[in-house]
Amino acid sequence: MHVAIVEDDPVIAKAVATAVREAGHECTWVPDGETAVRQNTLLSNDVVILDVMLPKMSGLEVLSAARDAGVRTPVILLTALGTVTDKLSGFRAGADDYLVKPFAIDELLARIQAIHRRTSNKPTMEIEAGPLQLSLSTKRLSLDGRTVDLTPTEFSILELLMRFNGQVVTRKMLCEHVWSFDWDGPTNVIEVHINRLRGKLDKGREDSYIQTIRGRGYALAID
Amino acid sequence: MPWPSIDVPVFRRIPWGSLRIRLTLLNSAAVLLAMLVLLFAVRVGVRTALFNETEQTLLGEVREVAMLLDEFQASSEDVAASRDLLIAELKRKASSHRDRSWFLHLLDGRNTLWASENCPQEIVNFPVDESVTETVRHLGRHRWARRRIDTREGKKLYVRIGMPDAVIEQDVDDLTWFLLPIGIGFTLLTPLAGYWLALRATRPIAGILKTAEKLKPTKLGDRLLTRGTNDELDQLSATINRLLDEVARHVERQQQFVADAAHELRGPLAAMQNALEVATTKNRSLDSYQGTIEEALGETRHLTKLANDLLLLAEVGNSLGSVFNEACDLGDVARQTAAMFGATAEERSIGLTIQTSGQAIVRGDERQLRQVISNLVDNALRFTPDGGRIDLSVESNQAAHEAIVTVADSGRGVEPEHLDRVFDRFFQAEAARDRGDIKRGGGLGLSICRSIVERHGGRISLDSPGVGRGATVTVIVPLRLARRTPA
Repeated sequence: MHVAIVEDDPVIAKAVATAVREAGHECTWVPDGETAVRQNTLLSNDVVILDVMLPKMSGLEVLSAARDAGVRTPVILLTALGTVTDKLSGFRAGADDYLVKPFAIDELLARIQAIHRRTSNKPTMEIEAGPLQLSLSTKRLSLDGRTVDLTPTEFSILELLMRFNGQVVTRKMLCEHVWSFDWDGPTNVIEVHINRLRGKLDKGREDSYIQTIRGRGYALAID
Repeated sequence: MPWPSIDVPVFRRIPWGSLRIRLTLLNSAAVLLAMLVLLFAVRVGVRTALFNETEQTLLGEVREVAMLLDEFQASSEDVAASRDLLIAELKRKASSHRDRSWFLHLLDGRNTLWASENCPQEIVNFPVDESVTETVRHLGRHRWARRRIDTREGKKLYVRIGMPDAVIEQDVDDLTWFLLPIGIGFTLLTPLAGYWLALRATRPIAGILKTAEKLKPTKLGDRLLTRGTNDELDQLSATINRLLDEVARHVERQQQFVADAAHELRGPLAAMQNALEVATTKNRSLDSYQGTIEEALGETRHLTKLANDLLLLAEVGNSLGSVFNEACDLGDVARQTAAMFGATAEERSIGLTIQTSGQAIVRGDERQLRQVISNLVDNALRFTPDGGRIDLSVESNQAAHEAIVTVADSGRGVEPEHLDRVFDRFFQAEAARDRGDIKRGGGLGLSICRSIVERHGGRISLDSPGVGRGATVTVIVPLRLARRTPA
């Protein structure tokens, strides 16, 4: 997948580019809005990460211009402004997703992948990861062919982890996914469910399918 | 000859827009108008009264003449003699009332028997309406009374006594000339008195103005003087003073907030800076670097949370006074929150119960209200030891039109001296400030709750019977008014 990051802050751009490359994609850095328009960045990439506050030409202008020209490439907006009106004006300009700085790199990677999958095709009703098979239609998990009973919360958590197999999923993303509320408070409301999931999935195994990535979140690591 | 110009410097120097001048002009105009109306009314009233009075007098006179003739006829058999006596009497009346210009006229239906020489010709010629015994008439500029007298031999005589209007008009004019100087005096005096009154009335305003001019956003100590009369101006001063108190408090709070925020930001920054500085002083093991980076990452997460909380506070603060249109069921919000924290509480053997009664539907932003209840339950969880209990309840008081949410825990409670400060920004009791604790909060949770609840027109309070005896937070939000359905 070709990803472009249009961002004037070199530290953020470098960090994002490195993370995207390490996730196995190609990434180009475009330092300002004018260059992005001149190089047709939106047309020549699969996903574009676009900062809103850019020198010379704002991200929203770049986006509107491209959308007016009929370019449908998925765009994730980055901004330091996080009010509801800011978000609305972003979506009105044609953004597909929106992240407020500072953000977790893991969340950005997950959103890049989700948005790419969403725009490229087919909603799957089955997710597979090694011995795990999740049926979204029947809400059933089978592990090595036998059914494992999960609570709705556990099912929802596992669904997100399996969608992003091999990637870190943050607590905030899980909260948003499970309870439609981006709880970011001191109490870790996810941990208990992760532990219970492990209890159900990891019988007779030494290391868990679900890894805790300290300070970042959780990841499913199944080839 | 051109009109003399009134553009003299005195006129130009008068501040026509000033309240004092306008009050004076208004006062003068009102008094002058009232006086003009009064003068006119007095004149008209006196004139009418005088005419009525005169007509009654004239009527009395003709009746007296009629009675006189009866008397004369009773004492003398001679018709001619008694008529002469009557004419003599009439002559006497004419001469005694000459200065009032009375005129008298005696006739027998068609022919004049006698008339005083000042009797106007048109009245001498004026025909008698024989069907009426007595009448008062008004012709041209004269008025008179007339009465029929029946003589003994069966003839009918008529006597008229009258006077010109001019005599009464003269009286009214005299009165007018008497009142006019008084009126002119008032006319001259009114603006002066008005100006003096306006001066008196506006002097305190000048004082208020003078003090208000000295006020500056940086120097909010000055207050307007009140004179203790409790009149409107005193009330105005008191109101402005209250506003100044409020503004001063607000500014002080804002300054305190900025200082606190800077202080709170400095903590994690210092920790991060020191850790990174130490890491770069010499070559260290990979594990050591990784440890430092993780520490730094932890601090940045804390900073991020802090920045997000500040942003949320600012957002809620900015939108104060805006109207919510969406309905939000607090019972649902509480159930969702309980579901989110349920497993965590269960894991720590904390009994998290939820009780709802009635429909607690309010107008509001569901996300924000969820933030409030989540913050409260999160607080309760952090300060309640394993095995404790947290009771969440939502009820609606239809009579008071309020939804009441309480979060009661059996945790460590709050010291009585801290009770009134728990909603202050960055206030944290010592135990909650432990930096080593990964569950440490930012110190903004409860103030965010208060901002959101107040934005929804509600109020929030925290009660605790003492340390170790739990705490109860009560949130009260006005219920959404039920939309009336047309009958």
